[in-house]
Amino acid sequence: MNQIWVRDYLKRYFMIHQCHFIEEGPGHLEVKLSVEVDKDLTNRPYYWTFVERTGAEPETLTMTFIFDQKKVPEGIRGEEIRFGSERLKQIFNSAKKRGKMVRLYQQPKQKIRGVQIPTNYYTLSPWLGVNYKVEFISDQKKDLLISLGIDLGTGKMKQNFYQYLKQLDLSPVLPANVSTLAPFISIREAALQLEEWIIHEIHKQNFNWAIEANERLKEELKMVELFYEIESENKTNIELLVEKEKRIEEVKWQYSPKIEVSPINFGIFYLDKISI
Amino acid sequence: MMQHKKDRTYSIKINEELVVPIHFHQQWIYELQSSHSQNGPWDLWDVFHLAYQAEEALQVKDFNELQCLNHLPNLTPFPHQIETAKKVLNEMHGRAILADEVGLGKTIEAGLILKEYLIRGLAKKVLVLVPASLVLQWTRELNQKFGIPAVAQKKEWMWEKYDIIVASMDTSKRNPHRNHIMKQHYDLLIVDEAHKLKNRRTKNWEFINNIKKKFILLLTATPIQNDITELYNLVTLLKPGHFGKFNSFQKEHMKDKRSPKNKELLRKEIEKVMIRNKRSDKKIEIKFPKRIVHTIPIELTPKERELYQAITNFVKEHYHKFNGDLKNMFTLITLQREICSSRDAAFITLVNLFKNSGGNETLKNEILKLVQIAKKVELQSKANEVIKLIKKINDKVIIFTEYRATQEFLINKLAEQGIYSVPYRGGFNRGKKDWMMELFQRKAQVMVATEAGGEGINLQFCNHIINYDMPWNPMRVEQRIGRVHRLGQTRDVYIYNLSTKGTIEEHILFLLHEKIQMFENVIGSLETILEKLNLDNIENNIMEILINSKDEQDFRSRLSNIGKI
Repeated sequence: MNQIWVRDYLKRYFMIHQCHFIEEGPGHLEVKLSVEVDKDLTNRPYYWTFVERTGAEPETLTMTFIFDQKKVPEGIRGEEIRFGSERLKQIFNSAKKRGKMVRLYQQPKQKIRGVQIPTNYYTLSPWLGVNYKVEFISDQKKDLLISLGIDLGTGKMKQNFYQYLKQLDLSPVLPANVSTLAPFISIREAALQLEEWIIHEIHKQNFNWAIEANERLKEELKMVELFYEIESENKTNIELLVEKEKRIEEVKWQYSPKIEVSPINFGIFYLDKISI
Repeated sequence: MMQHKKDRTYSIKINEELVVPIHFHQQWIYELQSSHSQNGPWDLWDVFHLAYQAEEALQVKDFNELQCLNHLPNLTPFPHQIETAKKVLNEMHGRAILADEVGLGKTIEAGLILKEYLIRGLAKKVLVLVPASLVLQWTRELNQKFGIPAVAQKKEWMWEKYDIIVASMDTSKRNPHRNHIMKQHYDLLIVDEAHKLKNRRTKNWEFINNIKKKFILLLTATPIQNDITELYNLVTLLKPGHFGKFNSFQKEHMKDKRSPKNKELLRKEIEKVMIRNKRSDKKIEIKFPKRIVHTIPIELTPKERELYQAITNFVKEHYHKFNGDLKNMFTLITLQREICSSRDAAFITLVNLFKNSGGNETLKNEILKLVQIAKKVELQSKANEVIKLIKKINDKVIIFTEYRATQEFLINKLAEQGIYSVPYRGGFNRGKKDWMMELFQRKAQVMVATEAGGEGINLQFCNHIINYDMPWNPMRVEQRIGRVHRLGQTRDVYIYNLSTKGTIEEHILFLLHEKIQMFENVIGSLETILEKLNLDNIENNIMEILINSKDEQDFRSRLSNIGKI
């Protein structure tokens, strides 16, 4: 993630959240925060409680970010921001908190091959879309991102759903002259189907990481058995047993392979049947 | 993410003996259902993209590749440090002894490993145990260099409240702290100066052994000091049973306490749990700047010589008289040391001694005589020599003295010559210290400092040190040099020692220079040398020798015998 990426991300984040750009140069960006961004980034909960209690006019902070110190004119001071810096982490968290759950409607295409299509032809069907993060965990770790969608009318599923959605014209407003189909499958049922699909996907993965971790686990458990067996020749006591149990727990904790599946974000998407 | 009781867990059977659980977080289903039935609230599609991109950027795509290097804007680790971190993560599975020689950056290696585990989500609760004097330094480094939100443990309630804590080992092992620690599960435990765990029968060892931990790093520059058993004990903390039981370890690996049976075999076994980078390794890219030492001989003027002799005689004469009166004996030691520094330093002590001598008229008269002699000294040879030296160096210089009176005298003297200097002392508050450092870096040519220890004076931009007077304690000398000769110093370091001929200072310098070779040794190894020389209370030893020596020659030869057993 280079500085171009970071700058682009920041600018979009501030723009979307209605912050005001005061000054921009080749190496820096000065921005006056909006209320919601100020609350997420400046860590002054007491101030915001005060404003809300008293109804005082809120005054948000101004921040200057430095992307390339060499290109910053004399006299401008700010905080350097790069991938890995605490500030960017904060902005990521703010985005994750504020970009979790959407409901969107596909906008009717005005024209197909130059021919105006009357919009009242359209009926949109509801889809559940989820971006998942799958974590493979032992003493090591790897992530996999999986995006899936399911038609709440028919149960039909679609992979790389998010990548598909990104090509469409979507809006939170239901367009005029457009109707929506009622869902046939509940959100919960649909979610369970997506989980089945994910299990199916996971099955296709290479499991050497788990097998190897399990080998290490077995080897170290053997070591523990031997060690405490010998130790107990000298002293038999309850303390030694407790210590051994603790050690076995530690080894399992360290190596036992497991998989965690959690959503990044999700939503209900009303989509035009024809385009799928 | 929190485990929710309505979550679902499946299992995947990999083979006959391995079943891997899959845990699905399902809280989101309820959130979506609720928004769906209540027509909101909904988030923005644009922000939805930002959230996904953030996750994409943070995704750990690979089991083995280090992620942390992309997350460290304030640090460029050396190749051997990166290699060490990779090895601990991928081959040692997070339980290792980091035993690099001093100065190669064990702290950086531990920081990299910690950062990597935090990024991968494999560690959350972390405890770093260090000597009390290093707690703040560790906390600061983890925060500034690694962006790790570590806090220094101060209050009892902090054990539960904070995830990443730096604490002193001596505090932690005592109750009530011990009880709190034993209740926790630490994903990672880091122990600095781990050679304190070499004995299995100590409270330290037992304490570390009992802490519940997933990963553990033991940091020490001296994994073996005396006895191979020490290594066995360290390894047993990491992996009980790695070397089998002690008897079989003894049989297999030890010829006697100090020598292994089969060096090669033992080395192979050790390499599985310990990494030791040495300065002489080819792969080490750190270049340590050299220490270049100059001794500047100073010839006293007849008047200065007279004062020095008078004071030395006075000290010798009264030292025995004051025997048992510790406060007065201490004053005499101070006086003897001060007169090596400057007339001004000794002057204040003489005045105080006069005030405190009560009705003792003989003593008062003697002191008055000394004061008279002191007043006759017009020219201070050392100061003149220093001014010549500074003009010749023509670069930033830090002058160390033990005494405030000398400090003030020097600053005035330098100002007379048009040399701008700033003071630095322990009594300054943080803000003033920072201000003085900044002035020194930006405006002043000289800093005159009375304090070498303490936190946060890093003067890498300066590479000339003048020891205006010599502390009698080698650790203090090393602290002075350590301010500029440390990681980050790119130029060779020049050390100028002023040595007044025919005074005790000349002998002290001989002891430090020739005997302990303290100016040539790099950071840290001093402790080992002092331990070897058996020099526990060096200041008192020197004073004893001084008082009991018949003449200079006797003094010199007794001094040479220091440390000989």
